[in-house]
Amino acid sequence: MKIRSRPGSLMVCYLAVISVFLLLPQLIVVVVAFSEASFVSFPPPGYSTKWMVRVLSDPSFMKPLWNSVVLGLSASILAAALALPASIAIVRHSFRGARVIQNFLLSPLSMPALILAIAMLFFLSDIGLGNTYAGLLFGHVVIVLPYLVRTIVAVYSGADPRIEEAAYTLGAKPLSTFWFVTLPMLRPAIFAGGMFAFLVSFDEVAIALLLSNASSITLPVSILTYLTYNYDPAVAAISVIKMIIVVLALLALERFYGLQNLTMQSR
Amino acid sequence: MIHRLSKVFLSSLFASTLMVGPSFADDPLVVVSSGGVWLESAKANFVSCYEERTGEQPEVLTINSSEVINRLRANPDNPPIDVALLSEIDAIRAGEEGLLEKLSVEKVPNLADVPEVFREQWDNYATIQNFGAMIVLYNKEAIPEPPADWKTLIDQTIEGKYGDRVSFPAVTMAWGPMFTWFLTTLYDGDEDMVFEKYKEMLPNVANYWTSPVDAMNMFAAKEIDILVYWDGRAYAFAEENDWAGAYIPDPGAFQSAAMLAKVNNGSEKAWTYIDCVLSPEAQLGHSKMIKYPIVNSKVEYPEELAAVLTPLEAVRQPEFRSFMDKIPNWIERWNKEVR
Amino acid sequence: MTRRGSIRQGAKGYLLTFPAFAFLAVFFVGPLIVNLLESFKDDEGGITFAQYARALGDAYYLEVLGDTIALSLVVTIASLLLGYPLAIAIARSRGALKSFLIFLVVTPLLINVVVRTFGWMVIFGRSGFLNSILKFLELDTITLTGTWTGIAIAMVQVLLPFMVLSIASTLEGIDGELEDAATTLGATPLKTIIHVIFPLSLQGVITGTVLVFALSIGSFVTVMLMGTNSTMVLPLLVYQQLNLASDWPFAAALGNILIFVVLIATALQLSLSRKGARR
Repeated sequence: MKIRSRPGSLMVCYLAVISVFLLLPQLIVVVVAFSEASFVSFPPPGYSTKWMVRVLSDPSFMKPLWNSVVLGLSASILAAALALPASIAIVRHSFRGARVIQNFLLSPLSMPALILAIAMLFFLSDIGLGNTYAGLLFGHVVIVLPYLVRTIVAVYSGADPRIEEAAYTLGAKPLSTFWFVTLPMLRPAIFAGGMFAFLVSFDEVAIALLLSNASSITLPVSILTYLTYNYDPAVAAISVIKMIIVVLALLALERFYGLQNLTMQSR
Repeated sequence: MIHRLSKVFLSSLFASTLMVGPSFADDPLVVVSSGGVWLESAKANFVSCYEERTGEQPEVLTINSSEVINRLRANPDNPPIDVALLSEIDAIRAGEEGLLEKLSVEKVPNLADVPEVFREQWDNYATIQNFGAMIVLYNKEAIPEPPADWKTLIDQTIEGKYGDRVSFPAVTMAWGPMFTWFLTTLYDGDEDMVFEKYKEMLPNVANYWTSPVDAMNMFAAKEIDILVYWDGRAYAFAEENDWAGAYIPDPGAFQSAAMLAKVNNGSEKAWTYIDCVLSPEAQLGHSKMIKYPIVNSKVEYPEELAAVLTPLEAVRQPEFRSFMDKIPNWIERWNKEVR
Repeated sequence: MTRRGSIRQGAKGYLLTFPAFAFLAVFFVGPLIVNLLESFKDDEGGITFAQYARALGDAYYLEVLGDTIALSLVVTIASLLLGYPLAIAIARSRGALKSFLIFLVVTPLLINVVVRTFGWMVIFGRSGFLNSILKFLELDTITLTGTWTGIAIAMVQVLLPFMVLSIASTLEGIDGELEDAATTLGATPLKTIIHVIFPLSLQGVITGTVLVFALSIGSFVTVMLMGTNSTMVLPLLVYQQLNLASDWPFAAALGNILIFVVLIATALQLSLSRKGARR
């Protein structure tokens, strides 16, 4: 779509309101993170960086934070490796049951994580993967896979098949067509889907609560168990640190790739 | 049969390709703790003692009781946890399901100084590590003379004396069933009466809380004047804020506890850790950090600590086996009736 | 394409989808089967439908199921209405503004659901942020904690990114000249949106709608923290059964009922998007 007339005043109003709506809860968490009180209160009686300092120097938050980054990245990459060929096949190779397979690949999205988590716990121990890192990783791959399939299929079905056909006509081999034509076309989708996948894994708690162990404990789990008995702003502080990390990642993505590709645009 | 075969096939496939077989005997001991200050205390008092005795470092898992018991149920032969920390009910269930190993003075010498009452109901499958009680935290400015006993508090709430500025724990809060049992003891064991009271109070409570954090936030923000809450936290809050007070209404409170247990088929080194947890030094250190009473009778509390601990005489231990089978029914009644 | 060619195409299709398919068949369907078996298990190891009878034969559980579906529908529709203009704004803008808008819409996902819900409770609390503003404006204060409205607002905020980005991605693909043509032919902007843009973006709308519906029907943390007994949803009952009652069979049955509802929604989407494709 091309740039058209300037946005009307109605649109500007709407954007202002929706910005507040989308940002307000996070802003409150940021403010509380810099509270000097030992209880969560808003507005805080005074401001200090003590909770930030405390959290940054607390291995029971920093280690899970690192674990979550590693888990999120590995799960997203593994899911992308599974989703890419499958999505290409679904869009380009019209085979019987492609639709059904597509919906099957998307179905973990709608699964209440709570039920899935407890069933996974027992299933993984049945097949000899109980209490392993692979179990936790596979659990996360299951729930993030749909995000990748969805974005890649959406973008690829909007892409013009004639471009690839042209490459074939010009004598390119299937593999080089894939490498030089298809993959560049799909890169925005992989990044966008991967970003969603990472964010979902980064915030997933039900599966991690049952499948992580002392060395692989994730940040949402440590936040949740912290909140069971503790009431201070430390949780707000660690949330802010987590937010900063993701924002930095988004900025890097923007720098190298351009954030606009997150809309999975197809042209 | 097919199920079995596929199970064997799948397990050999995954175990071999991923090289992630079952854990080995020299794996570190895995113990459980709650998060935050509890974890700090576990590290400072229990883990340090264990390190001193064995020269090894245990892994500390911070998860809640329901996750502990589910993990044990899923892997009974090769449990991912060696020393469990459970809620009272989960500890009874785990003991009955054969997931725990009985404690004894031979294996845990310090158990000799822990009165029997702290493990009798659990058939020696678990012992209380520390306990607390649910008491009343109130705003002194808004309510200069709070009701002296529970029944008066409930009836005055129903009458609307406190507006809707009161909050009680919900039955669906982790210790809600125990609180409900405690209320039945006030009304001659009449459950229907208790649910009737819950219902009658509904229009005049701010809410029935399920999240302890939110409950405390509401009180701190002065959105409510009376909060039925954990003693340790209530005393600490009252100490920090002049306008708040905390007390135990008559006829006392119910005991709530964290249960320590040795997991069946877990590492034998678990005994050493449990002995450490129950040692007088570690117990006192733990009590100082978390502000809850502990169980080793050799421990003598310093005066200022004793002042904020609920004494054992003031708490009544719930008779868990008398009501644990009713809990699903209570939850259903609660959901259906009190709304 | 020749018949032979299409057969080869088919074989290739199966081959390429196999890894993902096999992975989910083991690690997703496997647990689901465990769960299904659990829901039919009786105390003696036989088969029973008692769990389903208990859930479906009880007016209360049916009511909660109805409320759960209603909440998810409201959240989905609100996300669509609120998010559509934002999707248009994202699709139309370029450069820094576009990056900012996309950043804006994903920020709710950057914070843990529990912590974010506490943020909402600070806003909605009795003497909270919102009521302070209302008081300042000398308006009546309102209570949103513990109400369906408050819960729905908090859920819309975090599910909006899924709706907005799904729609924006199809809007990106729409030819701007079509719009220009419509405007030139005298259509008002609103008419252009309703008659030209909306039908063309239908695929994105359907994708976003099903995504948001499915995500909201399975979520319970917001309801657990903000709600009361009069705002009960099925996933929260599942949570209670698992964590308090320790009744996995019943929890599994309730979960399966929920899955069934979502399957119906997905099937509905399938037929809708086929119809949409035919247009």
